Amino acid sequence: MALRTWLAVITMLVALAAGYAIGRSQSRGTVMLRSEHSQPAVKTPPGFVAVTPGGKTFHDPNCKYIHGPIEMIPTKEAVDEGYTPCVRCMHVALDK
Amino acid sequence: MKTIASGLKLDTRKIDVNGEAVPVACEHPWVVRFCHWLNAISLFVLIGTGLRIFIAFPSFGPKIPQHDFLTVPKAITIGGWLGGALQWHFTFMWIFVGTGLSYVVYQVVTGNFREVLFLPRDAKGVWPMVRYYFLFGRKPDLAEPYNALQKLAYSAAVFFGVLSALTGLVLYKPVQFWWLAFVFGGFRLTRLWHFLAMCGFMSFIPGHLVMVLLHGWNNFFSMFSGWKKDPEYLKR
Repeated sequence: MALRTWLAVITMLVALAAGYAIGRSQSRGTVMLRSEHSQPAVKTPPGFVAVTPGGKTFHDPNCKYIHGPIEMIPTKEAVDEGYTPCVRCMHVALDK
Repeated sequence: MKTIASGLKLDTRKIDVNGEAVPVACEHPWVVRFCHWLNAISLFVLIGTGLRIFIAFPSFGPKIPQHDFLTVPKAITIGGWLGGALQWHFTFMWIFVGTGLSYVVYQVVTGNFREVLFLPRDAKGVWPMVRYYFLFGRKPDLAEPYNALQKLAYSAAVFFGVLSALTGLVLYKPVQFWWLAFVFGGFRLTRLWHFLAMCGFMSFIPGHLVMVLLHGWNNFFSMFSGWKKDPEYLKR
């Protein structure tokens, strides 16, 4: 029995390590979000969005919830830089 | 019916297999099977979503400055983002608690708990089982469905379940359960206990799966049908 036990334990450890390694490699390509507390963009609407250098979300330039000097960048760039959509003005990016 | 060493009465029958009468015993009543599988699914979701929630603040220290305790790959988590994971977690926690409570109440009411509950008298049976499984030792005689090592593992799993449910309550409603948070040493330590309960499950589950692999199809299928063919303790 002991030999079978060790074989089963090794199989289980290999399966767990493989699962973890696959998970890590799958996660590697994903964007590092500026805030893990907000929902990432589901869609990337065309055009430009407003961001602030120290901010975590991207907005419509007329959004009243922007704080600080704004910078207009393409939506795709904002998403790639880890900005997440403002839940008040960027419904289109959240598919709501 | 057969009375086993723990005093529990098991439903036993004989079935015909290729012209030979083979004894079978009902080891897992339907309540146990139902709770087992539902719990397995909810544990899978709770661990996956729990890790996603943990990513949002991967630390057990102060909020500022935060030192990440552990980096969890997002691909092995469930929920997509913090809000999504919380919704899944809060849904499946009720299933987990519901089935857990049903299981414990059923075991106590029917007296089946004697089959799985690890008692001090079982302690002397742990080492011989460890020796048998890992160190080429002789197989100890089995007088009941679960050996001492299994009892230890299953009792520990119930303990982890209770710990995760109680600490989860504190994390879910910290204001209402402030007194429970106090018992666990404060909110921050409660998060740590909750995480450690998950670690307990994470060590129990692979061990459990290894044993399922080792004991073969007959044993695995009994968790679906309830009946185990030709169990060793019936040969005594």
